[in-house]
Amino acid sequence: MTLIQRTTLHYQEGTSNKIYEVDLCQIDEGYYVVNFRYGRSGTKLKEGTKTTEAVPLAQAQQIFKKLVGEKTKKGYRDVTIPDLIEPQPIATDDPRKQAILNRLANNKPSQWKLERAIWRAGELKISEATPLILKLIGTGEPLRDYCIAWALGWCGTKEAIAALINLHQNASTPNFVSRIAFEARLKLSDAETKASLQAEMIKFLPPELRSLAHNGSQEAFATALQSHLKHSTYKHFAVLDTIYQIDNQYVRPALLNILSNAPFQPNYFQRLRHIFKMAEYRHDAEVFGILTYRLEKEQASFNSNSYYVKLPNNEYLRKIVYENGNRSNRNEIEEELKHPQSRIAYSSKTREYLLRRVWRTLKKLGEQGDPEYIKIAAGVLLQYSDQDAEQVMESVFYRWNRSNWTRIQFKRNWDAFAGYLTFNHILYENSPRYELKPNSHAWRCREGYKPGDPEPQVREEAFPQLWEQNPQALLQLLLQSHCLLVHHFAVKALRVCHHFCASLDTDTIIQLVTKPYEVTAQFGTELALVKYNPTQPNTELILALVNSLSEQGRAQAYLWIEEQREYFLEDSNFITALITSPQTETRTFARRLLAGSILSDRTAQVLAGRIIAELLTLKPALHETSLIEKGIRELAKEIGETLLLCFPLQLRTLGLSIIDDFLAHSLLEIQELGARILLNHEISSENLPPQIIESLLASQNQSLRVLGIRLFGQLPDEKLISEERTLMVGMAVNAKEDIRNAIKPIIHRLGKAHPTFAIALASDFIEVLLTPEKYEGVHSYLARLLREDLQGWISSINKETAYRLIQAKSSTSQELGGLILGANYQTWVEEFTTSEIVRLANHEILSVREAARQIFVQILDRLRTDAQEMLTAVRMLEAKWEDSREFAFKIFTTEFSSAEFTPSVLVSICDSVREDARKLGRDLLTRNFQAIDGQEYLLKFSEHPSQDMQLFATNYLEKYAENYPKRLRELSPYFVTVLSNVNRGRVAKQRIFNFLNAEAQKSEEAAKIVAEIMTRQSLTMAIGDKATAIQIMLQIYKNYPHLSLPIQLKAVSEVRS
Amino acid sequence: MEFNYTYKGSTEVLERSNSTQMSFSPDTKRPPTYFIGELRQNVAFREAISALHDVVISDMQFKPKDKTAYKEWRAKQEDIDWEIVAAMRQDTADKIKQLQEELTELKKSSYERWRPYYQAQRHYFDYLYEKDRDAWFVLDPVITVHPDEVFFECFSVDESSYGRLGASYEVFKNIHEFACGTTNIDYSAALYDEFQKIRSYKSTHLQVDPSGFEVQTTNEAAYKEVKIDLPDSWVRGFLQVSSAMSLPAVRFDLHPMDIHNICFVLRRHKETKGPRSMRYHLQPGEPVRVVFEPWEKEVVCPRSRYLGNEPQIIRVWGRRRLHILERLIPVANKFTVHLLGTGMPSFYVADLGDMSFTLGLSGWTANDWSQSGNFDLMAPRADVDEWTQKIIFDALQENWLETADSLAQRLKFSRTAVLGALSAYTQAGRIIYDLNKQVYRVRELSREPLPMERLRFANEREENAKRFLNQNAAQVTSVNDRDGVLVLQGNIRDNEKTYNPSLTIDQDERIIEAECTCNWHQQNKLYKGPCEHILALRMQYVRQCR
Repeated sequence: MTLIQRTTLHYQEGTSNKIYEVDLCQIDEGYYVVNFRYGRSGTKLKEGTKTTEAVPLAQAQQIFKKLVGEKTKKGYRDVTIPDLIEPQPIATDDPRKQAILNRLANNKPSQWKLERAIWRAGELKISEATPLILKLIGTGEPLRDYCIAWALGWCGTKEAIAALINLHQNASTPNFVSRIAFEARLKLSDAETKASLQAEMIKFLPPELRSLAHNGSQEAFATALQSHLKHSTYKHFAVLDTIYQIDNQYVRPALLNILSNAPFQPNYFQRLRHIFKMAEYRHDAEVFGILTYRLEKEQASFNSNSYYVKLPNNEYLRKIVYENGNRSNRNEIEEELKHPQSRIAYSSKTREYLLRRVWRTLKKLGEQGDPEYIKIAAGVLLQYSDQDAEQVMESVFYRWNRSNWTRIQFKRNWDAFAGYLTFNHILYENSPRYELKPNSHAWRCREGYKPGDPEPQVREEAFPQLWEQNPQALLQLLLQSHCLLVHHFAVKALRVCHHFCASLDTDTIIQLVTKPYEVTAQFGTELALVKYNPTQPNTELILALVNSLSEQGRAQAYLWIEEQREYFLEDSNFITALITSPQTETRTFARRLLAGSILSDRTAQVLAGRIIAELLTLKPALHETSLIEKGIRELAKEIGETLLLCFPLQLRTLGLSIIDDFLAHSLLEIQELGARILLNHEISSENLPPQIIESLLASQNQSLRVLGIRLFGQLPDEKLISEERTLMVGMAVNAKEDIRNAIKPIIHRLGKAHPTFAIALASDFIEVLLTPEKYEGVHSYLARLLREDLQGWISSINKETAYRLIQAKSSTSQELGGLILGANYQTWVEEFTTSEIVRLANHEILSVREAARQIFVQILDRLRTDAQEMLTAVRMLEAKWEDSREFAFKIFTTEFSSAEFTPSVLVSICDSVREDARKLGRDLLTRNFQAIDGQEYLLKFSEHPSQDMQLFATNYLEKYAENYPKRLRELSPYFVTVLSNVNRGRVAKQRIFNFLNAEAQKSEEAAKIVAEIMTRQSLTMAIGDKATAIQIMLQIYKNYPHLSLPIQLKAVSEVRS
Repeated sequence: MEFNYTYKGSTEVLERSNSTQMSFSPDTKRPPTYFIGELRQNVAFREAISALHDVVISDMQFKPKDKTAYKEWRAKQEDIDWEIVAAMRQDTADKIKQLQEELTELKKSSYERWRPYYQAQRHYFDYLYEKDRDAWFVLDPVITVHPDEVFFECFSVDESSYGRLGASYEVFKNIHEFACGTTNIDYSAALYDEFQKIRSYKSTHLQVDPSGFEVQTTNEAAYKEVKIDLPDSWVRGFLQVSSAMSLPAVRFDLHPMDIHNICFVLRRHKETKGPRSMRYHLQPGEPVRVVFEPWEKEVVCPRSRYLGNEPQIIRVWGRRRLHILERLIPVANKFTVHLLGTGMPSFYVADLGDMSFTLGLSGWTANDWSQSGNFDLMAPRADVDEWTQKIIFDALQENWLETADSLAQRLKFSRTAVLGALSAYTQAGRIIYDLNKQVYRVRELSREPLPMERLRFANEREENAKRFLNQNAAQVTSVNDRDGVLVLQGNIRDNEKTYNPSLTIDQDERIIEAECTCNWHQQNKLYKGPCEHILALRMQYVRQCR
């Protein structure tokens, strides 16, 4: 269906506002229809048709005319837009330009908005378009004027200036158009006019700023501006726009400062946005870079997708408002944003838009091959530093695999700078390792690359040719950037520019070499290798190389120095610089160099002086990180060591005032150096001012105290012995281990040389050992000291002290007590009672037991003569400790004869609770048995609770209890005990049964006793015992029928079936 | 529950050739109690105190074998097995085998090299065990001095046996002055060894004296602070057994050789499966018969007749604890047995002439929930107001020991009131009933009064079960006895809700299965013990059977 003709009718009267449209359409060749639609203007129109079936053209036209006529009669007006007469387009060769020019000339409605065409004309700087554009001023919304002003700035010629002045100064022009018109004017003017124009703007400043902006200092303007903004309402912030328009050398630093630090919040943000656009328009790389960086760093102050925004005063702005329970059309967030004094700004959408715009601006420039791209991109890149690195991220995702019902796990990584979109665009637009997926907020690592993997060889940045054409910008990046990634990029790009590299001068190379980035330093080294001329050594370059991060550079520099060793050795400044180099390797090299060369006294003196001076300038980093602090400390330490190593002679004679300076220095390492110098100084410690040693000993720091102790140890012996004993003991029991260890050699030396002093010290130490241990390790330290380092004191200890040591709480003290005991036992033998010795032999500590055993061997004679002592001594057989027991067993089996083993001693051994002791007792008894004691043994052993002794006692029954009813009575508890053993003691029971059976036959009195026992025992369930008991009773019954027995004799009657 | 003692020095034994002096170090924080005497009946005392020691160290609880080493080895072996299985190809398997052999060799030689180290380590652990053996005793024994006798009491580690050795003053000679009261004494393993050396030909001094004797070595801390953290269940067990003593019981005497025979059967047989009870068959006028399950082995005690009126069959468990009495057989004149009923505590009082030894055994060796049915032991028996209770206690404290009757007469209280008050104090551990002399004695178990409210029930479920019984909310609906395994079903009404617990009790009266419809049981099953409804059902059944 083709539209042939359309008439739009409009009717407006009162509140009525209606549209009526009539169409004449062709359906097919010769078939036409007439359709109409009508309704309220702006709403959806209702459709209708006047032709129920297609009609020929003539008829259709008739119907069409009639309908239009009818409506017109009713008051409708024809508002059909007449086809404009096309202005004659300007012809060019470029089809792109031609299309734009066509569009500008043609005001037909089109998909391609006119504003876009105007904008594009500006972008492409089509100067031919200027007259066309100028015609369009004022034809549309203010936005069109904005676009026109913008485009004119780029593509306009002088003729456009008048129009721009008009736009700028016309009071009816909206502010935003006026601003851009001003910018366009600046762009089109020559430098002089431009300056005067900008100077003119000063009059729009508040009065207190005006004169400062003219000729005041930067600082004064900055403070004035700060105070102006501090208490101002939103209106006053417009001053920022004006300042950027002025943009002279007095006002710019203050503005930059505000741009870098101002919060992205109301009052500021609107102005920042204006400035952003102006900077973009001016291609002001610095301001644009700062704002881009800020945009990347500052998170949006609220989320555009959220249904509410919380204000700082805890008020909420709602996107959807319910009034009286119904949803109203109000949107509080939008209302607020439109308000001139809005309390919210910088939404997430704003941020995203601005960021997109940054890259779009850059991309457009890049695509046009405009060198401005390089300027701005470098401006942006310079804003980033290594501190901007964020956490490297890894996320794990899962996808369901329907084919085999498993889940697939895959990981995504984000590198440290992934969140900075523009930064990544510039550096990695063509990267094989990073990519920006649509709708994402960060550059993701591509498949196969993980953060930390080596970077690819290929160039990754956007528009590489552009960079190559501007190597100066790359060099600038290298010299100014604090970001490793930028250095990597710039070095890679710069390597391609051979010509440019070859033209670099030595100063630049030195700068490159000293950069704190290895890649740059390496690059610089490579350049230096080409540049350096060994015949004319350049000290500065070599110094830069030895301090550089590049290993190759350093190695090469060392080679060059070695080659011309004499030349360099004469330059004391150079050598000092080597020694104090921040590079450890270089410092080592310097030390090697010095060690391998012979210096004249004079040179050495000068060198040492310079190094010391250098050393004294070192300061601990105050507000720096601990890493730097550590570096400085290490540096100080190494320089000190080099000094000690290479200039011992010079240090020996070093002035005390310098040493004092060292000792008073704030760096600990330097203080230590001072103390070390003193150790080998020509002035002996005795002659030193006494407060030096005192202050070292009282130092907070351990290593200093240790050095202090060593100095202290160098004092003459007489002085130490006579005056400093307490101090030495104090050091020996100090809580810190290194102090204790430091005083050890001194004590050793003094103890060896002065025995009386050793004794005095030892007694002091023993006093300490007797008290509970205050700090861990002190007791064992003292014990070791006493054992290894001090001699001759042991004999001076008396027995009480040794005994107290043995009973002290700590095992080290006890052990020492044992040692003392072992050393002195011969003198103390008589002082120990036997029971004391036995107790010591039971002691937990081996040395004590050993000593006790030694003493025991000494008192054998005493034991031999005194039975009571012997009785006490046999308790040693029951010692808890195997070694003491073995000893006792050996002694008692070998050393004594039957004369000493009286019955009471043997019984005492047998009474032991230890089975092995009882066994020994029985052995000894059988060997030393005297017949007269048999009865005693029988009676005593019969009371023994253990089975083996009960059995042993049965041996004596036959001989010592036979025919003696009284003894039988005495022993009856024993018989009952043995016979009552449950399921045990078969042999003993059998022997007793036999014995009792025999005895019962002998006399009535005995039979009576036996009968009593059997009456009790016959109740047993054990069949054998029971049978025996009944037999015995039967015997008794036969012999003495009148004794009462629990048996009844029955005649056996034989029954046979 | 924490008990704190302060001993002045340790208990010490001073042995000389012809005399032994034992000085027990009492708790100095308690009212001074002292006693010094010399033993007259040495050997009998030795045996009795050794039996008491056996009670202290008795621990019959089942301890599973330590199989960790085996399991470790097994796990390793399994890995190796799997390796072999995994090695499908023969040559791989061969290689593995060869390597394994090599590995075994290496391990063997490594073990050989390490052996001295392991041995030394073993020795060291043994030494530690020896050194700290006193820590293995739970609560130091309690010693009480009364006007007529001195007695020692103790309770075993496994919370199931109670021992009491009462020695009248006839046992001693040369008694110095003494002060009545109760105190804890410091007790150690070395002391037991010294007890073994008591002989009639050596004089033995027994001394409980707060001042100790003056052979104190210097530099040793003068006071020894002992803190013992006892589980509540231990204290509850102790109190349950001692309060059970005052309950009426079936009594009969046994000849020492009867105990010998009982021990004899137990020594000769070892049960591998239940039931593990000992059944006393008591017919009036007939000899007592003891039947051992599951072998149905019978011990007849021809010289011990049952003199009660009612024929009874009473089952008791934990029979191996009777071995404690073995050492007393030769020195005892007779044993008096007190049985409270099936599954209830039982008491064996050995008559040693001037001494008596009481062995109290709880219903089961394991004092856990599976057999708990003895909550009534700790229930108040009569309602006596606090004031009266106090008067009665004070009156008893005047004389230290008295029968209930004489107390009632003296104080003009009813016998029931006196008995109720006395039983309340028994349950609180402040009074003890002397089975031997049938009198109540004052004996404060601890320095501070025990928290009775906390001790009465093991947990709140037992308390709730008791509440159901009191409200008559428990009902047994079916009792099913299949080959001695009892299946009970019933319902419990709890706040308009009715739960249907059921449980199965085996021949050893253990709960082997239980179900309940309540939420607690659904969540925890039996892992935390039975729920209140199951407990209530069981208690209700026990009540009905009585």
